[in-house]
Amino acid sequence: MKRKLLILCLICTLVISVSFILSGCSAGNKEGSKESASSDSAVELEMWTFVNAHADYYKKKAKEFNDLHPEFDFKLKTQTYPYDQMHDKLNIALQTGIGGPDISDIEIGKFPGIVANNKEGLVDLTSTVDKYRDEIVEARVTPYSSNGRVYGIPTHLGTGVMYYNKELFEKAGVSPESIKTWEDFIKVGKKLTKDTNGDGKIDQWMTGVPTSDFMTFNVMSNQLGSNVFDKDENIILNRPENVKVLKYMQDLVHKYKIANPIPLYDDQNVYRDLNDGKYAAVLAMPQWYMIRFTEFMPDLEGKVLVRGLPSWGNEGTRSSTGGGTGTAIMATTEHQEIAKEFLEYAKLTKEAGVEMWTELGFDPIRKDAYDNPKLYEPIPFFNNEKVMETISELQSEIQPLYLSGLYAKARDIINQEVLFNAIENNKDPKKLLDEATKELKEEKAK
Amino acid sequence: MIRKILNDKKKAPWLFIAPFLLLFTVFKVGPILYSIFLSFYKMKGLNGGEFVGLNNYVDLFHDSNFIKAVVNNTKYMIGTMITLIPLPLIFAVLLDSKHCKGKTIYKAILFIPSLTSLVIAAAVFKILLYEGETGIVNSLLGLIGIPAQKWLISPGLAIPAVLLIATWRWTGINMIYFTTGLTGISKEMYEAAAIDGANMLQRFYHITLPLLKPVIIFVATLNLIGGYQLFTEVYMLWNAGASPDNGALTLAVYLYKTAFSYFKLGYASTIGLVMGLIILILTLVQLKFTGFFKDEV
Repeated sequence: MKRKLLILCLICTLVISVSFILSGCSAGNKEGSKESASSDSAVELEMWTFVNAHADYYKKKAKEFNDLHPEFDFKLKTQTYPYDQMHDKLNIALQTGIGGPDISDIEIGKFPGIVANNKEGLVDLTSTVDKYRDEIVEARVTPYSSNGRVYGIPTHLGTGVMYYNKELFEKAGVSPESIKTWEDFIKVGKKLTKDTNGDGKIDQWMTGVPTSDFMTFNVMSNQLGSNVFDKDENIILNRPENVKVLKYMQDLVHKYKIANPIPLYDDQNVYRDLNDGKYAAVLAMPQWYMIRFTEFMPDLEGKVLVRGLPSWGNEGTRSSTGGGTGTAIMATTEHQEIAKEFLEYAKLTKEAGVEMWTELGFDPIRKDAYDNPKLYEPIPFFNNEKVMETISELQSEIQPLYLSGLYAKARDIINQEVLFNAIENNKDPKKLLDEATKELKEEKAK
Repeated sequence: MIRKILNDKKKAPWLFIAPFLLLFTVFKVGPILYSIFLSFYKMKGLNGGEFVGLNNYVDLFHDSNFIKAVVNNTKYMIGTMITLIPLPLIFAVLLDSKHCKGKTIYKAILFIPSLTSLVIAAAVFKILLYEGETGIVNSLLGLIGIPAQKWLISPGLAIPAVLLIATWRWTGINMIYFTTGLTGISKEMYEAAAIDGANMLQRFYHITLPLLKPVIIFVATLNLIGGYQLFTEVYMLWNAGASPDNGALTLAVYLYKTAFSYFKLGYASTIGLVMGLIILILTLVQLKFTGFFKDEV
């Protein structure tokens, strides 16, 4: 009797586990059929992002969009994942064609790789963006384009600027306004680099030079119209402009000794050092770094000045751009047209441009959004200045940024080898950039 | 029919492990076979590849990043052997001693790191290992006259930094293994040795160590496998594993980058397979060397 009971139990376990496996296999199909059977008036789109604030913004816009379109019931389900996890999941979803969202944010560094490998997985947004070509800064569309087709809608301008600590400048008796060129930056820097407590070691630096993040390098080289790739995806990393920028960054540390190497500006230790006044300036970072100040450096309230980049003398411009996020629509979506319409509403209209600033704190890509007085309210944190006035003066000259499928590899090589060896180990910038270019060209040939 | 199988002593066990076997085949063996297949292809995404024969393998052995990763993993593995066997063993022996008071508290303290989320731990270690003189680890070094070190920047210190986390994190778990081993050693042996005049160190060398040998082999094997699978610590300490001059590039990080950043799935499969082979061969060599395969006398 007991034995029979035991056998019965074991068989039950077996049956349950087998049916579990089978149900696991078929779950995907069931979900699919349910979706297509839903009524025509309900449109529910799923959106992935890696920034909580973006999710909140899109949710707000979705509500408004729903009110504008009483003919269908529009709902947006947002899902925020950590940065790397989201991009990995999205990649797998695109490769396999299942389990992906309808809309997704894709960071600029990940975008070219995803486009190069899954072009048919993303919806061609060229016609949508074309409607707004005259109103938006064209330079921001190129990173999300491939062969003239647009696959992502840009979020912000990411204007490259300098951030100065007003208090430290005042103590040294110099004005940030006297910094017109990168030459001036060095001159002023010498006055701001000092040993404040008299222990024989420098504890206040003009700035920090990142050794493992190429944003600063990118922003400064973009000023000279250069970058890693040109329009036709040729590798131009060892161009004289780039060598010049890298050499300058190196000289700040080794020749003029006014800068300290730091890992990257987006780092908790660096936030703390900036907050403690260890650095007088943040070297060439995009506008969105303002958010890091308000979030992580409370002691600097009222003391941060946002200024345009110093110029390279007669060459290049004072404008530049760095970083970014493109929003793409997956080809697997059942509501392609509505998704396009929604993104247009949430990202390309003039109103959306203004809200990019008021809701998210980003510099808008819509040129006419800069006419709106809402952008020019003084910000107490930033010395009660109208920061957008500085930004709007710079936006006209921004040089386009061209990327390619090799961008992720290029970024890794620059982040981990080139910058580190140039700035930390004082190796020859020209040689380093030549080597990196060679490595990338070999990779391309493979 | 079923009754017949159930009563058959040879067939019945297979029926009961069938669910596991099925899952194992579908989710483990399948992907392994598929990755062997992929390793002979140059893939562009998942769809469409080009057969390249052994090219991926040839490339791999000429790939300076791969070689760097193997070296880094080996350094780390050796490091864990040096720290993660003696330390937990000493703690286990001390906690096993009858002179020790408040054992549970000490055990809990040593074990808590294993339960901490690595994401949080890495964030804390980033602060501890801050390269300035005010960094906590650097301040401690300063007390004994060692100048401040650029922990997370200098490539030579990358693996030691990871080792520091690993030691903090795994000491507790390894200690549990050793404690379990110690409880299996009869107290009478120690008493007999004590009567014969053996001192504490002699008892440790002649009784504890030989009798703990199977546990030590087990922990060493885990260290070896873990050493070559190192990923999360590096991924968290440096921005997605981007360590300066690839000072902390490991096989797993390189595999991840190759597959998910560079989209070279064929090549990534090759890295994965070779990584698996390295682990398998080293484990077998180690087990052979330590006499694991010999029959107990």
